[in-house]
Amino acid sequence: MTLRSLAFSNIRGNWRSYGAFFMSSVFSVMIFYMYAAFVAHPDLASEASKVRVGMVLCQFVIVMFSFWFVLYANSAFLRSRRKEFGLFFMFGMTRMQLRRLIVYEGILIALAAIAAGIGLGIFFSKPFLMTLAVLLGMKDSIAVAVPLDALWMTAGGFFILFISISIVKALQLARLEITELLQLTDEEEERTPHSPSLAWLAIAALAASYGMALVLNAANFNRLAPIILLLAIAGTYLLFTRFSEQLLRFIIGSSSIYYYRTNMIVLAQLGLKLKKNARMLFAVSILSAIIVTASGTVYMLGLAVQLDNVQTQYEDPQGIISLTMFIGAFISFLFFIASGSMIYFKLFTDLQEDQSEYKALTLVGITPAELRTIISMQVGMLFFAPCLVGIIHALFALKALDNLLMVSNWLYSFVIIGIYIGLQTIYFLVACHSYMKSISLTKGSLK
Amino acid sequence: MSVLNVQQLHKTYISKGNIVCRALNDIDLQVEQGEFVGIMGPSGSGKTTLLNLLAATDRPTSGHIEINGIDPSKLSDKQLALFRRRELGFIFQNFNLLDSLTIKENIVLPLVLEGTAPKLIEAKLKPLVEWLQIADLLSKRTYAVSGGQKQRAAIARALIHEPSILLADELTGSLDSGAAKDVMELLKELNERQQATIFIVTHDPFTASYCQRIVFIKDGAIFSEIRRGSNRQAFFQQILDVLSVLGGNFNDTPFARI
Repeated sequence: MTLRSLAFSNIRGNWRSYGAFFMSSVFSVMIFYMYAAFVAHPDLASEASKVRVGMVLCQFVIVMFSFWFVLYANSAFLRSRRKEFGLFFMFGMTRMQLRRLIVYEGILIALAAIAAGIGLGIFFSKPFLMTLAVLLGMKDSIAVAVPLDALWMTAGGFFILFISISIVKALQLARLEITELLQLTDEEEERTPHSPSLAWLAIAALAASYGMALVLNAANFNRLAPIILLLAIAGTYLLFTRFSEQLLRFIIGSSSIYYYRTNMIVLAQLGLKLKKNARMLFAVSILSAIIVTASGTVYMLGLAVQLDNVQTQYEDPQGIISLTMFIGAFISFLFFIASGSMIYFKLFTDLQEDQSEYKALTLVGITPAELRTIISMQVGMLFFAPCLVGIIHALFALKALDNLLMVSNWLYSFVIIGIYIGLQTIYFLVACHSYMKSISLTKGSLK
Repeated sequence: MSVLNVQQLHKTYISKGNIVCRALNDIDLQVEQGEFVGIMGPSGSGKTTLLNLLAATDRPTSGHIEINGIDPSKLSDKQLALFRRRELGFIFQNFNLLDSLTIKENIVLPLVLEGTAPKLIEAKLKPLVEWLQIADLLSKRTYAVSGGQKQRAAIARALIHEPSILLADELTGSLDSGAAKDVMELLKELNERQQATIFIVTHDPFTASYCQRIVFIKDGAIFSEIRRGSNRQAFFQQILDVLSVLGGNFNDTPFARI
């Protein structure tokens, strides 16, 4: 057996854990290709320059996003396989061989993901371009083309991205000691000291940024906006890293709640999960805030443009509005998928640890219904806590925007929030279902 | 009154390609209230299969099991879970404590799941942890205590809801000889003072020597049975004699321990 064939059978054998990583890679490639093909489209190349500026700006966002998303997915995935790598070391694999193994696997996944992503991208180009043609008010629909520039840019760019991430990760992992790799639980979580003052600082920072957002107007915008943003971000970070712990301590302190049936298990496990995933939850809630605010903003901007004298400056205001809305919706959707996937990854990275806990619980005598309650409450908390924080942020941001632009359309904002919660619920249900399926709630034997 | 009643128990595994493996063959077994019974047998003799059937984590091919008058194979999944947390106490080789909970939370788990009032939980917890000498460890997490302490916590969890029978699977398997001796002394005390019914599966003669009665099984069937007199050391020798007749693979057992 060569290293190459080992890499190949690793992928075949662990399809479940590779699956999530592979799918998100495919997704990134697909989005990037579709957008690149759109920007490089021969029919659009002649389009007015102002539209192009918007499109290129959006492409920049997508490039940053793809890079970050692939990096995140890759590290989450490799972290879940640390134990496996530890075993390889243990049985005498050299560090160089492990590095090569990781890079081989990376190349295999990269090639497959790029092929599948571009394939799907070409497939979905048609509906994507049709929607655009309608939005831009073009008379005849845009013909589907496969611009070779876009193709090569996507394939080459992602190949370099995947390989460089693999190499960096391979170097990092191979540097660790066997014991570090084999250790399943990181005890790092225990070391962060508990500090109530930082917990209250989180609330103070958020309150201050909300307060400032409410008094924001055209005169103080330049001065206040950066402070608001900074306070909101810092506050959210502390909210998940510190305040969450404070809140849980408070609940746990009440023994009549804590020692009641499944509450104890839910809260104890949730406490650990919050500590471990605080940064992820922080990132997801910021993404949520961006999703809702961006969706709301583009519409309000659209309204503002219509009302304002901007109309006189451009010959085709309707086109600009439509395009802005399209790009806003596109980015929102992108971020939505990304934020959901982050939670999804975390869930499945911790699956192994959780599984042994659920097994022990089953033996102590937990009913299948109780186990389902525990799991759905935990998964639900991971999905909805950041979603809720994000929505609250967005509400204040939209209110500030409303004050600035003097166009208010709360109905539309609430529709967006509703859609967002709906989509998040669907994501939650799917994740919850597949999670329960993979921990196999069968009774299992004693050994 | 017999707490555990097993009649004509058979368990057959059929693996792919129709290879039939008779794991248990016509087992009859009674355990009376207050008895301390051990099951011994070489690797692959069917010890763990038997315990799996008693714990209702597996269903028998044929035969009848009754624990405190209840046949677990007739229960639904939900009833089975309730049965486990009300009637059974488990102790495992690998402890099976929840790493996300503290020692105290692990111990009180069966009562918490039942919705017992916090005051009552505290009242039951206190004497138990004092007896097991783990009162100082209650707020610690599982990875911060030793193997022997974990097993004491597991014993406390298995006893806190006053089960009708305590089932233990190789409970000294992960402990050093000192900790194993302590744990077995505790079980002996529990059995003698409170007439607790204890049923252990082991292949370690030293652990088994604490039982009142030992049932030996070989190739899925009962081979012989011995009872202890007053002297544990003599009983230990008796066990070794039976094992030498029984044969089989006991190599994984440290013999030089008494």
